[in-house]
Amino acid sequence: MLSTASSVGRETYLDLEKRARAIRRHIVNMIAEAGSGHPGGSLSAVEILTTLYFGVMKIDPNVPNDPERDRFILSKGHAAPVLYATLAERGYFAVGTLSSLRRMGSPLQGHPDMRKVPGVEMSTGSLGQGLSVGVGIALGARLDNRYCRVYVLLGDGECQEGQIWEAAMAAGHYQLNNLVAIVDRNGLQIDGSTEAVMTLSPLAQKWRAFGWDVVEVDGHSFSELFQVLDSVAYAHKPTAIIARTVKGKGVTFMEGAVDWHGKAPDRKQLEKALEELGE
Amino acid sequence: MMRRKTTVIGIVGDSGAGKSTFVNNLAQLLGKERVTVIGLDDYHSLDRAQRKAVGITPLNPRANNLGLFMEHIERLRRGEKILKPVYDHDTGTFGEPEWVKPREFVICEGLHSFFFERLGETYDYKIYYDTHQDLKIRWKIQRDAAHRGYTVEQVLQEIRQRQRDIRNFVEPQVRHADLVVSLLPHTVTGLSAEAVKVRLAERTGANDIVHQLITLHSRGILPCRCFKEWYWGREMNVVELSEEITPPVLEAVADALGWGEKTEEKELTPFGFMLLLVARRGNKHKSRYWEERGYYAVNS
Repeated sequence: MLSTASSVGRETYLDLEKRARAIRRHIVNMIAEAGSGHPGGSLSAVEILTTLYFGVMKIDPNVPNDPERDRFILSKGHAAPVLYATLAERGYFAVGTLSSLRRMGSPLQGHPDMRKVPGVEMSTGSLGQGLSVGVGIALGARLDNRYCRVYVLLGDGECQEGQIWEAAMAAGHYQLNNLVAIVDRNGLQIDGSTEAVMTLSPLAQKWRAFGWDVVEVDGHSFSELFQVLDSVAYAHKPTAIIARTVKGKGVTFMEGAVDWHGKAPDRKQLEKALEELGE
Repeated sequence: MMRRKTTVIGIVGDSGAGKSTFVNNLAQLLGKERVTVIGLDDYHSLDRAQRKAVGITPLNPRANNLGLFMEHIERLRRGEKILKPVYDHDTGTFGEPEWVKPREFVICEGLHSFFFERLGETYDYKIYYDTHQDLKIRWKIQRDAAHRGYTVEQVLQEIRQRQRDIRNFVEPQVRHADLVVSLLPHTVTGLSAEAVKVRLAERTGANDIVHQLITLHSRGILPCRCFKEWYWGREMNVVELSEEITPPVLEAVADALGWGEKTEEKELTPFGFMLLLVARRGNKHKSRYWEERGYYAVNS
């Protein structure tokens, strides 16, 4: 592998760091406002979505249905707040809309709806289905001779679903080098540690055995994420990125805490969270 | 003691995107006798038949001898001459290498001019030159379908294939560019098919061309559209020029930017105006860069 120009000066990441901070603030704010939602898995995926939407994806918020666009599928649909916040920051819809999360009549439902929100590529929430659709889109793009890439974000707990591995097998079979699966490896799911609920490791070997290129990265490091996403250009197989993350990243009392999987902060906790995140 | 030093400008852009026109015009404005142009196509490591055998296009960095290029550009920077390889586009093979001497300005243009970060650091000024796919299609159909007997479908197919490699291997270099120049088709009807809009983008916080243009716009001197956009993880200030620049506007711009001397007297297209800005920038950069390092600015 050639070492590409992927290492960008730190100066460059300042824009992304600023954006990631804004997205985290939106996430805790909107979940607190709604009184329910999933902060843990949303906060762990912030850098991943920021890198994709502000860095590597070929998208135009003004033309959300451009057939040549790159696709992002949030297979772990319960992390909808991170997707909404990122889309709003990227300009798909007004940031003000975020406060209507989970309200009656709001486009921003608890799980993302592709018919209601511009930029949402698939209605998800029922876990395990995103990769199958991703395989279909990637295969379709190849048949249509389009050069778009498809990125699917999976939860690590979600990888316990059988359907994920059927899709993984198909992607390996068709050698879909335009498909990228990113596993948000925060190690926790609703009922506790993923390894206690249903052992996932060795996760990398599992993906590799299905015919994927596997890279493990720090899921909160822009430079590592950029580097691996750049290398997709040279791929002959589908790429699985196992992104080591911390559930609830950025808010100390939420970090690594299972009970913040699906709970809203109260007023005091929100204040503390916002203070920690800073402007 | 007077010492002559070289200013190195790096340009990345697709072929068929009007890059050669851009480089030629830029060289003209800087003064042809002061400019050495290096085309990276000469640094292909595989000839056409070999690329076909391996199954890669020239857009793949692996089909290019970027190591040799890196060595050469550093020599040019120091003012030394190089023995440059020569690639013949007509035959798809290599010719006799030739000696090249650096002049005041060295312009390196190609697909991978700042592919490596270290390469990127060698330049005084880096421009990423981007042309909208629709324009490439339009120009290529005019050339290939009209004169070389290709069907429109063949041309479209080729551009699509190419676009994939551009995205994979060329576009990531945007993040190292000081200036991103984009040519877009005019959406307004009633204009000739040749009319293009020009977008200039630079990092927010960079106090350079785009910043100056935004200031001119806010003072009501320059008609243009200003906004922010994301390019490969960097938030950029963008100025979109879609109107002809009339002589009075140009004069006001020249006054405000302190260009001093007399400027053109005819109307300038957005493209022509952009060229003028870049050429001025090259000149200005040169003197500042070397003055800061204790050298005299030398005019040859």
